[in-house]
Amino acid sequence: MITKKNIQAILIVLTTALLYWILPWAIKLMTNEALDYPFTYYSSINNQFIQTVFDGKEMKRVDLEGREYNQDEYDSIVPMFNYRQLMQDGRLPDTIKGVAINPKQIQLNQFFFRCTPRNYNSCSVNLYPMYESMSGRVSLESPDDLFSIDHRIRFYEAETNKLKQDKSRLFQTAMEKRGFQFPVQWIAGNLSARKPYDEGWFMLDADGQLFQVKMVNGKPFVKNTKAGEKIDIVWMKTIETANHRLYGFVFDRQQNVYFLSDVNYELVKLPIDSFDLKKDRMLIMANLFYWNVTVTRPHQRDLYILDNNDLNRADEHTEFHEPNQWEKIQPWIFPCYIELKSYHSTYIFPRFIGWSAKAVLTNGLAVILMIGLLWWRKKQRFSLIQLAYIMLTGVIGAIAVWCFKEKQQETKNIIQLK
Amino acid sequence: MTKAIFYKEWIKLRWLLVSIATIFLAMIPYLVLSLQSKFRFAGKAHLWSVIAEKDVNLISQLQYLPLVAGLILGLFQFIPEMSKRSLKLTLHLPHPEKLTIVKMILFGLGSLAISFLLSGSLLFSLLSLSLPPTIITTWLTASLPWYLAGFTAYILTVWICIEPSWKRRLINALFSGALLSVFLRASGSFDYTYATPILLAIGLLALIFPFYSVFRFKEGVSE
Amino acid sequence: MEPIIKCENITHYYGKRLIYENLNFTVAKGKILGLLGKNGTGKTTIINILNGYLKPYSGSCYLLGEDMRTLSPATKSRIGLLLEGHVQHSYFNIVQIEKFYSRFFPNWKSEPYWELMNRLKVTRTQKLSTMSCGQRSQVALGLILAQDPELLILDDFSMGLDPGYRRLFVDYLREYVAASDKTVFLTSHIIQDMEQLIDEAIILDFGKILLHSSTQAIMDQFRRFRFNCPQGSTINATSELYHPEVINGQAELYSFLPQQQVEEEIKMQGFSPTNMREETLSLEDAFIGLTGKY
Repeated sequence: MITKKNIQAILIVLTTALLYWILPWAIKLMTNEALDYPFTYYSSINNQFIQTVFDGKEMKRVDLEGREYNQDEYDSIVPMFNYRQLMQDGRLPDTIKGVAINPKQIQLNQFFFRCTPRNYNSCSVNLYPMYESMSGRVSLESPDDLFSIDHRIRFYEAETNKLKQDKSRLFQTAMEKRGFQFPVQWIAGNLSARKPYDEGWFMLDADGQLFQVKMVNGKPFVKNTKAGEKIDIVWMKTIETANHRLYGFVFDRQQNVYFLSDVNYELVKLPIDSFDLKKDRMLIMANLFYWNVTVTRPHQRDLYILDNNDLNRADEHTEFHEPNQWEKIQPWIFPCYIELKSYHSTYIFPRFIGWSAKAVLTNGLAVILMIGLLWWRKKQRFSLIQLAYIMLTGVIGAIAVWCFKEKQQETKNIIQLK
Repeated sequence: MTKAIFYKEWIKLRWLLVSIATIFLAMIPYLVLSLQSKFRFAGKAHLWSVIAEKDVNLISQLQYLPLVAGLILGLFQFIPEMSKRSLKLTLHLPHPEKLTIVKMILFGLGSLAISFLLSGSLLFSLLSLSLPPTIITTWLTASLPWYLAGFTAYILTVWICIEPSWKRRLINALFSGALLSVFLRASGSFDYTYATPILLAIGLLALIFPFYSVFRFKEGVSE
Repeated sequence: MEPIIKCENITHYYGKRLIYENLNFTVAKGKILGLLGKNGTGKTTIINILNGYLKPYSGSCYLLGEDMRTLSPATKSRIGLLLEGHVQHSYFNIVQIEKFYSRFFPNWKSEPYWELMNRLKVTRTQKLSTMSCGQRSQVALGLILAQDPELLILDDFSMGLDPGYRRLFVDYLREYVAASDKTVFLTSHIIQDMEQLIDEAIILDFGKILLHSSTQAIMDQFRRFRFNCPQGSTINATSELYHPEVINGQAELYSFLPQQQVEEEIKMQGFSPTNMREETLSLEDAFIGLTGKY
């Protein structure tokens, strides 16, 4: 029923929601501080975590025991990270850990892999280039068509904007022949033409089977990786590494992380604790000796050092997140708050987060005080429902009620619209 | 009587509506031509790849246009009603008051819908001559919240205009600004995938706000 | 017979300021009633309450037997409303506005409207917004006449009109009402005009109705008395003696009483008036006599 009271109630609730979104955002903006974990890299010389810390004035390089290193010392004890500098200075050692090293070898074994919840919680245009994987050229050539895939695979020629019937049919049949079940669930790969080489696309079919689809000499190459038979695949992110050792990282429903090896699509499980795609970030900095695997979770950061050869865990270190000013005050002021955008997702929608019972208590006290004051000054009167609402929603609810408070005295007369 | 109400709104707004429709239609050759020049500059295949890889939206200039159209239409329709409180004349008509307002708002929403639909369908059918269906659907997805923002901006403007007290108008305007900003926060085409139904619900809910102002107007609320 | 307008116990405040308390009045069918009052006594407030555009603090009004808060469309079509300043939709021209309103009223009579319009020096395509105040008033009046309502509510019809248009308005209105059994409730701040027009007057003072009476009775009975009195004496106002004023032994006051009784009233205050003259009054003088100059 459209009555004045009902609309007023809706307006008050909506105002409360908007304030629960805007005020925390404004407070965060005012108190925001660059608070992050320090950059940490594992020394392959003395097997220690070395952190780069900014103390407000200058960068300091320290190990976990607090020993400080100057720039030159830092370069030497983390040679894998600084090998270019060492080469330029002529300081690159011939052997490390008894292994003879050279720049080419270092380069081949080095890769960086980054994966954030925003990568996972996102959607992209359903249009992808199918590069020629064996063009024989050093750099990849952009194709003159792009494909989209859902219930079918369709190639569109850019120049004419026409569906390429033959090519589409060719790939469709090749995929079906290899047992690919349409519709595709998702597709993983690198769209960029500026990549060192092309391995095409990895696609999860309707049955949860992971297929590699690429174009070799103009013909479709489709292969079931069989990874889907071993694990329950949720997601995959590809990477090109200089040594062609792996296709990418695969995440399963049990929150394990694997890499898909170049050898027979073998799945190799990373010996790290569970990884939540929806909330955790991962950074892998691999070198000749170790993989520095950094998993940043909502309240802590875990560093895992994996041996480059057998991928066994060589060392680990956990740091806990120091709450920032907002996180310290929020539980006392806001029983919860609303965020539209999230660090964990590209999707925009209201999220109710930071539930806190403490805030209900403090708000209750503040409201009692406020109402007492108003009562004493005989300024305002609140109805029982309004009081209950303010108790529940706190000072923000009080602001909302005040915004849409009707000034005119209570009367028996109610205006009706016919 | 519905005809008469529409007739009144038409006489009041015809030149504005023609201008709005013209601007929306004029945007079409502008967007199509600028797309074509980009095609010539970068090559069609390359531009397609860039659109796919970087989620580039080449019609994003349209983003604020429906919002501005809704706002201006609301102002031009209801400021004359509020000058010297001539809304009294409208509400005094021998026609149910709620329905009179509903029909006035329907006229505004209908005009906006015609402008949006006409220009939108023309634009997208022209674009689909040189862009594949997936890019078209992507941009269509991205533009839905813009059009919803246009309708909602119109309704909220009506709500603000009819409100008789200036202090409350300010509160309403702040509220509307905050609410509309919810519609226009996307940086990617698919950012509103889950929120579009919520935006639609907000727009539908806002439809009843003008009646709150009408109640206050009828009560004779003043400063 | 049921009165056309009935207001019961109207009390209204603006914020904490009391406008009036327990106002009661009725207007019978076929009467032309003028609501007179100084600025700020709440004339427009009453019009707004009557039309349902103001929620009074308490009390209720009935128009044509229907509660003013829930006037039905059918009843509204029987009420013609002229807003303060002859407000009309200014984006219309005279053809369009007639076309618009005619759709809403079953008894629409376009002849009186066009008769009036033909006298105006306006073109058919001229928008109301480009017309003079006088021309707009004629359009507004024409529309009300065409609507042919049983009850006309006119808020300050003389506002902004030059004497010619005012006279035209009054003449037209009187002629129209005389020919049919219409009821009119009007306010104006130019009381001269009302004298020729109204059957009844309600005179408002701050917070209350000072007088509700037929115009004839006021004109017949209300008198100004001028007389001489001893130097330095003062006269107090009583329920019968309105606004006495003494300047240099020259006194004047107003009363409904005949001269003899006025003299007796004054004698009760301790002296005898001499050289008393009784003067008949125009409605405007009577209004000032009743409400005072300040």
